[in-house]
Amino acid sequence: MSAESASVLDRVVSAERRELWQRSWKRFTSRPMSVVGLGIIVAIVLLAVFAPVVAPYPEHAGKFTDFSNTLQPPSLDHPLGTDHVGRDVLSRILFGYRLSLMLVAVVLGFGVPVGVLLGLVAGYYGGWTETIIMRATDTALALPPLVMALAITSALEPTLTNAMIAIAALWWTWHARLVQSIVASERSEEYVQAAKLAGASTPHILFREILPNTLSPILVKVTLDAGFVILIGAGLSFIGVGVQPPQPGLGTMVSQGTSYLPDSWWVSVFSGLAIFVLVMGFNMLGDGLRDLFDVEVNR
Amino acid sequence: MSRKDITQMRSQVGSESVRARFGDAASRRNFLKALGTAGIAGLAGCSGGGESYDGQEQTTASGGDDESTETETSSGGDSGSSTLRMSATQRFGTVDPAKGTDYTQVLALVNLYDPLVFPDTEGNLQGHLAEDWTVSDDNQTYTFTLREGATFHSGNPVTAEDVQFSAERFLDINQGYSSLLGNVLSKENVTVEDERTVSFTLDRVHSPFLATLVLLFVVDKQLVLDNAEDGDFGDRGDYGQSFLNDNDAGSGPYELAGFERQAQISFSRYADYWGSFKDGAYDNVVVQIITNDPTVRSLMKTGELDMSSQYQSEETYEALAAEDDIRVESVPTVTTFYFKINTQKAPTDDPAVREAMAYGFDYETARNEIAPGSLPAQGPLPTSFGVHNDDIVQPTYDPERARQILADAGYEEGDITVQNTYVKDYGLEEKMGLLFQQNMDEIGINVELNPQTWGTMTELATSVEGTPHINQVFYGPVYPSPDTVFYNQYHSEAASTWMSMEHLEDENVDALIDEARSTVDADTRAELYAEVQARIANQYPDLFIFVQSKKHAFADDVRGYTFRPSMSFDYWFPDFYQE
Repeated sequence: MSAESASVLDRVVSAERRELWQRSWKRFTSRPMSVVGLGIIVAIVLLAVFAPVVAPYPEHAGKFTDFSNTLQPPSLDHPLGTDHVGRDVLSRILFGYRLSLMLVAVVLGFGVPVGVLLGLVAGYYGGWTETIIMRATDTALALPPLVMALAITSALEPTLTNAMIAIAALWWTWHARLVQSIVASERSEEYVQAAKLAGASTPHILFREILPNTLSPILVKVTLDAGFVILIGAGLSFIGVGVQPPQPGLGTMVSQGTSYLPDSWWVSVFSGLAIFVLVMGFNMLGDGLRDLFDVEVNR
Repeated sequence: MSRKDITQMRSQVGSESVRARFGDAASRRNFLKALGTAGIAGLAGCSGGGESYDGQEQTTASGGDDESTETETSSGGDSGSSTLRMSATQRFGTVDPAKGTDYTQVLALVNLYDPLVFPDTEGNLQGHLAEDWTVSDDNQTYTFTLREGATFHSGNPVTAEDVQFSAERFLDINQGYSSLLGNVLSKENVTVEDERTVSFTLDRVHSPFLATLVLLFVVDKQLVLDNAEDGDFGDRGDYGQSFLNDNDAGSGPYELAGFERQAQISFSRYADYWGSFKDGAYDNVVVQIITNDPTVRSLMKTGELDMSSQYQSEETYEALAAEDDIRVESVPTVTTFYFKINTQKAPTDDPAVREAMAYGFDYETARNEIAPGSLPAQGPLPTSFGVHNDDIVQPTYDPERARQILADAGYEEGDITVQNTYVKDYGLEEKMGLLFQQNMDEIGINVELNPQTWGTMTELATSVEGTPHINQVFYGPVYPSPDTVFYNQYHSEAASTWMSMEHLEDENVDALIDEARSTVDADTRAELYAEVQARIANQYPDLFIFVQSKKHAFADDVRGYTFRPSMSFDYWFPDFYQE
């Protein structure tokens, strides 16, 4: 095969790909739900990243108290009111998003690669390898992440890092299962056989041939997972694990606000809404992606 | 004790009993009838499990007659019976008089049992079961003459033998506050002189002895031995421990009428009590365990609760005070709120660091904004004590000075990191922690806030290394004597409890406390107490934040709450009456 014909082929392939992407994007954007979801997430990520700039009182996320200004209802100065030690609720929500998103990044950043790798290996080799990996997965699946996080943080210190480790240590299981089941059926496909006959190495087959074909379900799962991780993080911080004062955890804010319900409703309600919006965003995006890829598969 | 383990338990009040208690007069009577008879066994069965069932039936057998008679009277009478419903923030772990230590347990004991002596509103000791007493010339033998006509709830008369038995039981079981007596008294030295006379001979002169006797609750020997199970105490079996864990064998003004450990405890008035009740005193008292403020607020507002606990949030008191038919009363107490500093662990083992902290904290904000109504502290002893040393210099908020102290001692910004521990989910302490963190940040000390459960805090206190640098603790007298403030917190013998998280080791302080204990003359003792206060304050083992004012919300018709300077003796139900 000459260099020229190769580059022609490349061009054809990349043109096809571009067309595919364009079509997908069009289909994606034709669903208002998924676009709204994406919009929410992009907006929240930007707000969280630039929290020190956009928050009206960035110092309120740190070592700050103002007891002359406690539990003030929403006003122009404090659009979402103030909490029980006089801190601006809006500012704390923005910084709280940072913690939530960081938790998502760490848990999925560790859990997904590990899970995918194990799933690929198990699904491709089968036999004893599969048995060992998948039984280990089943065992880990039996432990609820929330309980595991509680156990680890009470054995060690109830810090954010420990909570992250605990959740990440269990999160790979679902991805391992998902990938293993796809790979188990993909490995007998003709394109895999062809690559084998052509003498391709195992890593090449795994990562260049099979992996791309499992990407769409993984992507959908990751998006939907993000919502779960946020909820688990909020659940942990609600019961006081993982966020050390004065860090603004969204769950902690909901929990502390409940002492002042119903008179000072704004602390709990707004921080609860903040969790709701973020999780909703991820779920809407995930649903959108799933529909998108389902159609792709059906065609 | 005064500061509580705020448990995560949610109060669960069965809907049926709610209806019965809060409904119309007829259904209320039904509820009382149920309490008087088989109902008790049923209620206890819910929480106590199988083991308490038998014991509970025995209570019914012994005390049930009186109760049902009373119920009959009230249902036949015109006014019906009155019930005081109050809340508490933690469960009643036990009602065994040899074991109770914390505020809910002592609250129950004070009403179910009688001690020999009782503190009045000033903390002076009045005769209670003891009508009179004499002290020998060497100040080591105390002889008590018992009141005539006092009877236990079983109907047995209270005799000297019961007092002797109670002291022996207290010392043998060796739990709760028994070490207060055990240090100076062996059980062979409690002797019965005649049916109404009993004497205690101490190993050495011990001036706080009489005051500690408020915690010796007298039990019904006959009833306890009849209900003893096999145990470690020879012919006394288990000393009735499993029986008394959820039954009463006392002579107090109220009898135990129902006990669901995690949810509520109810008392009914003992008709043959030797002492007097206020006019309109309550026939029944129900204490519900409610740990969250919104529930207290809504139950108070709907009239389903007559009295709140002392540990509601400031916001709750404010909201309730705004209601027409609820009033909030605040009384000054002798309980101090301390930041106890670990004096044996770096970096707070350096007195300069402790002094800097003492000058870096904003006491005014703490007192006025976080705990409004509380009083300024001045040294370890509350100012209302007669022996308070008024010359002690109480540090004031002066960040400049604090920074200077640190600089003089050679510290630079960021050199010092300390941990501050407080009871998780307790709003006041969380606010204190956040304020402290902010204040210390201003003078270059980094504070890590580390909320824990009360149980964990008490465990951490048992070792110097485990004890965090700063510990937020309320501590007030557990018996009406200044000795309780000094010995339990600052004597090196009493180290390694939650009361002594300072781990202070100072021979001079020890010597002064010991000397005061063995000094009979009140003036000399006052001088010693003044000196020990100064010695303690000069070493900055604590930040003395404020002296607590206790607040309760009352329904308008609830009257009679009377403060007594000894833990939970202010919840003596005969004081309370319905207007």
